[in-house]
Amino acid sequence: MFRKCKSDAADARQVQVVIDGVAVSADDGEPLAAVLLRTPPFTSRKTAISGAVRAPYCMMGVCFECLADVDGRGLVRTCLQPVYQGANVRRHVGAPDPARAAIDD
Amino acid sequence: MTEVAIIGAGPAGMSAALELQSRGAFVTVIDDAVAPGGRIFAAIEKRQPHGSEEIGGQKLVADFRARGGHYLAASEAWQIEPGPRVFLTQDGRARVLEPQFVILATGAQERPVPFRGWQLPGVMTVGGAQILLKTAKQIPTEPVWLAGTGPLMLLYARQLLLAGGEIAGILDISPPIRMGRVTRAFPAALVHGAPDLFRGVDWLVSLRKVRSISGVTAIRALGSDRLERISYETRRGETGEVSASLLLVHDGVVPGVHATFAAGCDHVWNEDQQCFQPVVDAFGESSVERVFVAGDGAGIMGAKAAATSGRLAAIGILRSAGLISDAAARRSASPLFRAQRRAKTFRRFLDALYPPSNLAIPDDAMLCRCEEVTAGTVRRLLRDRPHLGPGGVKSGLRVGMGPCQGRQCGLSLTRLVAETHDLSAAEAGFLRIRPPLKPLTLDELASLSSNQ
Repeated sequence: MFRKCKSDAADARQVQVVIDGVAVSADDGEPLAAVLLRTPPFTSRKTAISGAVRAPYCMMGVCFECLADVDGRGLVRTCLQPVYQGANVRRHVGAPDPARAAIDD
Repeated sequence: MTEVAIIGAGPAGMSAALELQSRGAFVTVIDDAVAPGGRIFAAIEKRQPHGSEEIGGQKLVADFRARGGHYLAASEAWQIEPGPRVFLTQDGRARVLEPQFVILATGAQERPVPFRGWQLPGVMTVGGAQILLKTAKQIPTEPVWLAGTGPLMLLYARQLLLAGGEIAGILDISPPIRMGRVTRAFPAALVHGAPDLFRGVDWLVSLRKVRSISGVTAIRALGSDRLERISYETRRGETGEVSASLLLVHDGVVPGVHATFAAGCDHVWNEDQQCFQPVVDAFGESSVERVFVAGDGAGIMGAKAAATSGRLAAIGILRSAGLISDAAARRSASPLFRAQRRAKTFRRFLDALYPPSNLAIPDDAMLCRCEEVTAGTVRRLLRDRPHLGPGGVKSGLRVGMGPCQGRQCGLSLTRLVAETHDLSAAEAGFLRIRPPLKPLTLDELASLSSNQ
């Protein structure tokens, strides 16, 4: 959906993040939502109401469509979250299931 | 020691902080971003500034870092109470500040534009795409469709072309402009804002080769789990459909009023800009004592005027705190008042040239994206229960109760209530804004007591 500008390619320090188990490289400090928008399937979450797919929308913290779980913090707006080495990101998948969470822990 | 809490580190908040600190007040600045600058100067310390406005922004950020008081990056103010008291969270810990004064400098957000499919992946705001360009040097992969009106869309279109991106076309949703208003506002705009005027003409010239479809009155984003096609209708009765993977939407910006509503400030409806804004005096003091509002959050005037209003709020506070005399306050403020009058003149011209399009909201549009409630469902409830206002719709259907707290549906809900009950927007009112202003975990809330 998005790509880096060619002229600015690779002038930032690269770090690795893990998104739903897949390692992805990114610029240190860029918004995590930017990484989601250039990594297939270019989405951020499935809603808790109907399970519909959503993607980052406003990029300024006022739509809450880019929410994801980052290193166990459950309601992170990825547009405001800078990328850092080793961040473990999980997209929200439908309504939270407490039983599932208990098993995962 | 006069203590001031400022919420927001954009042009208004940073300017207020610098003015207050330089005259002996102690300032704490709360801001949700990782670096100061606000949305307009997002990541300005990490990129090459373009033009005089951004060079000025970079300097303002550097000054703020050096002398702007106690800056809390990546922090969230989630409740403002009379007192004033400010509740905030940073690094997963909550605490309370009890300053003598508060300045709410929370800025603007883009006006929500609900249409069928606006919640699909592949539909974003123009402002969002611009932030991606600023903070991640990132542009759309394929030729992109823009749907909107107003200066920000034109600026982004130009920036995108300069960055090597491509535009498939622009669906121009500008309503017919009232030429009389534009003509009347033009001479003063030319006198007081010639450079801005020429900058705008330059943007338009750079876009002359881009395909543009004027008079668009309806848009639909089609696709099952992502945007695949866009269909549109025009005022001339034409319809069309194009395939697309990304659509960027923009219908101007509106004040972010959640903080001012939560603080209990009185608001008025701005008919020209079709939005609520807090009632403030010349220095930005709201109807709540010792709570000031500066920048676009007090009414859309742009970044330069935001910086000026930040300094005015600071002067107002210094005067109230007795740190400067009445006469000194008037002396410092008078050139700033003049600058505000000039900015207002230019804004009047921009408002006349780019009135909000406020596209009709179809029944199949998802009015509340968080709780997934359509406009049709809201209209049915309103027709069945004519006594309900925005608050009643919220209780009845959970509209505005999701994580965004009505930031994406509040203004549309006001419109639906006004339309259905044949009221003015001011009579219809806005959602009741309740704490917390941003989602808060129980863990964070619990940390409040152990911190006291």
